[in-house]
Amino acid sequence: MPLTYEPIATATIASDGQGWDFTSIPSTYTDLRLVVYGRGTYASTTFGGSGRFNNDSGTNYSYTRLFSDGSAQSQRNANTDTFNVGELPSANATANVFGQAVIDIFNYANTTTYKTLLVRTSTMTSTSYTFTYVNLWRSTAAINRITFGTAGLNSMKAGSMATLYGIKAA
Amino acid sequence: MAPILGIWASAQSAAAITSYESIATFTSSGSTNLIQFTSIPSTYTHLQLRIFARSAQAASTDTIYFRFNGDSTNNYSRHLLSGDGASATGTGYYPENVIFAGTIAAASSTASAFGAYVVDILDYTNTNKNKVTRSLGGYDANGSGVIDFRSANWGSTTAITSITLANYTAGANFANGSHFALYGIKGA
Repeated sequence: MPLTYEPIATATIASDGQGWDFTSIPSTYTDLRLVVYGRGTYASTTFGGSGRFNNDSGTNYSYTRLFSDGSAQSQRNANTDTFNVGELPSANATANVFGQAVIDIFNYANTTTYKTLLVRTSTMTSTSYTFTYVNLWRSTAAINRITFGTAGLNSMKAGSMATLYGIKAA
Repeated sequence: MAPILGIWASAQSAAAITSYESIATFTSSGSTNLIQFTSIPSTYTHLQLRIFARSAQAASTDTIYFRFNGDSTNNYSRHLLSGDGASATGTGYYPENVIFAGTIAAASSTASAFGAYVVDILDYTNTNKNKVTRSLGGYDANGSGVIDFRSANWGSTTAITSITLANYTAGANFANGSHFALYGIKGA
């Protein structure tokens, strides 16, 4: 059988303060998966990871999340200008602690439906979090670009790594 | 594959994953209310379902369920940790005659909003174990939504050879563009 789970690109942040910008994403897969192992540079213990598709900065995103910092909670937010994945360790966290986020983007190349993405994020700092998110991007455009980071969609610590995978269906 | 142009950070290569294979896929044109994966090969260690779906039911939500090998008896149990945007709740059900994958948007929800789920089915060919599943997913409709984390047990040691999926609202079709993909995951 042909490969169905392929890496499209991997990028490691070279200098503090950068973010990721995956462009020219091929439309030949069914779903995308972005795996992030990262830490922010903003002067706080944690900072939310967030991103945009196709450089859309309109308030076209929303999410519902289930998370725990020791007790289970749920929240939602509508009309946001980024998709959200939850907290990642940032500059004031214990040194060398990175967080992880796995972002599944379904049916990303279709042009008839809005885009739904699922997220799992773990943050180990002085306050530990685990998050699950479902995000919606209210656009029928095919996704060909993903921008991701913390504050300002950049602000990642050098050494933070992200890999974008494509998943094909039969 | 060559690195994609435009990445700010330095590009590296990652190894292809050769143990994850597509078995079959169904896409609904809007007139389908039942998805059936049959003759599932026994050559994998685990299965994974990736679901992108919306119900045509005249309501804001519906729920996708599935069964193994056509077993519609009270042979299932399930647990759920769910968030509705306001609070988190946990529940358990036994006995049940279906497994719920999770809640999806339906006809009166925000247009073009679909739910998404990833369902893992572990050791599906083992004839000495009951079968355990795990699903994570939900839907968001810009002001409403649900996120679910579910586990379930099928009280059978029979190898799984077929999976049937439907909306819990009897006869409700899956909306045009709903997509169901079954993958096999190989062990070493």
